[in-house]
Amino acid sequence: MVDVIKSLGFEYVAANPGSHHRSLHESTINYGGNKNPELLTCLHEEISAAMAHGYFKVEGKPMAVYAYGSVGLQHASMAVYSAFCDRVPVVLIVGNDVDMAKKAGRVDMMHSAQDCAAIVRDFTKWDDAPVSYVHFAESLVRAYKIAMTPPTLPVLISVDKYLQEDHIPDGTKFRIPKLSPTKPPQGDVAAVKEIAKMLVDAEMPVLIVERAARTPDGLASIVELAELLQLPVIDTLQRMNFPSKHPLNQNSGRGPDLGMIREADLIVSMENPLLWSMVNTLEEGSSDGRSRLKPGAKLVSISSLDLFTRSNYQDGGRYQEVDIALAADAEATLPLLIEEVKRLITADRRRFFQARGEKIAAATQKRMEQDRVRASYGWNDSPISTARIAAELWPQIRNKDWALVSRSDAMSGWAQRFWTFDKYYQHIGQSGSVAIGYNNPASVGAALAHRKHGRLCINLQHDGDMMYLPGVLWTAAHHQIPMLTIMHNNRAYNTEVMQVQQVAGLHHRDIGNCRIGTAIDTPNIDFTKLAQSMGWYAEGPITNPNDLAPAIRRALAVVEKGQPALLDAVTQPV
Amino acid sequence: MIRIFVLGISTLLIAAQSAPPGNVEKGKESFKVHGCVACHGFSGWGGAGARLAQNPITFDAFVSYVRKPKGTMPPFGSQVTPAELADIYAFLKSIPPSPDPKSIPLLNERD
Repeated sequence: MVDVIKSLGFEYVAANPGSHHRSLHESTINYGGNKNPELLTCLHEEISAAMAHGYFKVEGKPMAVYAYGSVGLQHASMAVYSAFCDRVPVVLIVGNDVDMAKKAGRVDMMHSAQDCAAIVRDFTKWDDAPVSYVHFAESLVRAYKIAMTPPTLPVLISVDKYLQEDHIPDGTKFRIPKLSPTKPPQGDVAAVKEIAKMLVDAEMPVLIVERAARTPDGLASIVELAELLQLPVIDTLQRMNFPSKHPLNQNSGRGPDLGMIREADLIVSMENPLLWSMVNTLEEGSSDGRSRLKPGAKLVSISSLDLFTRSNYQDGGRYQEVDIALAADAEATLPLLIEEVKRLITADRRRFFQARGEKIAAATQKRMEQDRVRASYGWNDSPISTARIAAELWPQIRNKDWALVSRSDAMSGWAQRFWTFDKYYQHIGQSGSVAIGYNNPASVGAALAHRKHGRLCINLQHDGDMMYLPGVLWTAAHHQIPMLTIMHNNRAYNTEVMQVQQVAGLHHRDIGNCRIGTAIDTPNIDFTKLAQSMGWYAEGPITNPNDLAPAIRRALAVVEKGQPALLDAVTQPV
Repeated sequence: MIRIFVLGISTLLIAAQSAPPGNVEKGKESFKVHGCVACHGFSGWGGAGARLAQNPITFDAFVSYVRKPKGTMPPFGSQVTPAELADIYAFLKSIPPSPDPKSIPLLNERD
């Protein structure tokens, strides 16, 4: 089994120990030499899966996760769901103990299920429970292949404890099937030609990119297409789709600027399940959306999501009518689309595009100036503004090979507004599920993938999220994963404070009470001690903004020596 | 046009004059206790909600908006007393301007 796992080139397997996968565990560290994959000690299965989530988005290859039967997999399930929503492949290998006849103890019974995969089947792409070694080999290789075919998604193999532990007679030879990766599906040529013509003919086409860039090539292609046509790009920041300071970028950091939607006569949306929500508005409580679109505007969707759906969860968004729905991988389709666009552009159109691009660039420049003014608000305040944190960090990292490993919109997206993101690995998007608890372990997984490249990793960490899975701090220290975590410590689940306030207003009740159940104070959490207790260098709480720069300098010196460091900044609520 | 402008200024002056005296320190505390900080920040510089610092409106307009706001802001009824509103207004008016962004080197870094 370990030979099969090794054949797939996993660098790491993340795991919390458990008796149903004890044999795989032992074989990985002894027979496998604890190398490719190396076992990562995780203190919760949700940490294992979330680290695998963050790791993939940097490495481009999945991490394996060992999980313990019914209990471990249920612990992992939330992070598996986030990976599913974020279209990230994670290869779960779950130890199970199916044969009731071989059990007498409470633990073995409670920790097993006839069909373990049922726990996560609604949000995995494929699963199997092989009953022989040959079956295991074929299934694991198949699982890897399926996981890596767009839309890339988590997969699961359930492996019985006795299959793991049975003695294989000496001299038995097994064949490990060769992985034959599936080429991502390119769009139908006739449809691509039609889309190219629409793009060239449109007065104001808008490109919306969600998870369009799967690799650096995808980023380069989107930039090439945008510059050819000089069209505005709305990047939803679910991946590094477009450079942050590009003059055609319509993301204001706090989220996509949808103003351009109203002006568009053509929208081309790539790998975006939430197109409806971008071209419509909806008042709370109403079910009638109001269109943002200009009458007669055309819509095109290019998405591999049309090739795979699941029923139970609503991550597919609302149904959006489009003029062309191209079921294809956007990144694989872009080169053909670019060639067609190039073929169709005339000198006249090129002049028109140039003038359009200049107008968009002027508007972008104006928006950046407004951001500068906004950032100055409360510049010297305590608690510290999130803009100040992003601004203080930038001069200390800008000349290094850096990467943001947290949610790309963390701290109100100020990093997106101040930092120049132009390399694919410099940010990794969001959680997918928009659930709290993703950021801390996913950032450690991403930092692990960056480690061999010597990149300086920055994690902008919200306090509520930190407390879901703080045990990952220990894993980062134990495995010497260098990264700088700066706390956005507003001592509350602030979005939820606002949500409860809204409802209190609706009910004409006391809005001031709404910190009950939402505030994380009394006592204030000492994140410095928390991190120090798990082997991190840490400083804080930092309440004076003038103390930030020297603290960042000291922490970066630690990180550059290969250790993790945390700064606890006490911040404004948003 | 000029007459309307003069009338507008007069109205503002009257409204400003009619704002009851408030206690800045109490206003700061009320701003926190009533949960305004969640959206507007501890010093009213905004966040999820609008900027209130250095963004003057008349006391009457302020009270009217707090009682019957637009958008997602919840209406604050009798739980915020008129005296507290006067204190909060005084607090918001007392917030000094932020530094000019041009004077902050970190905001003027060019790549």
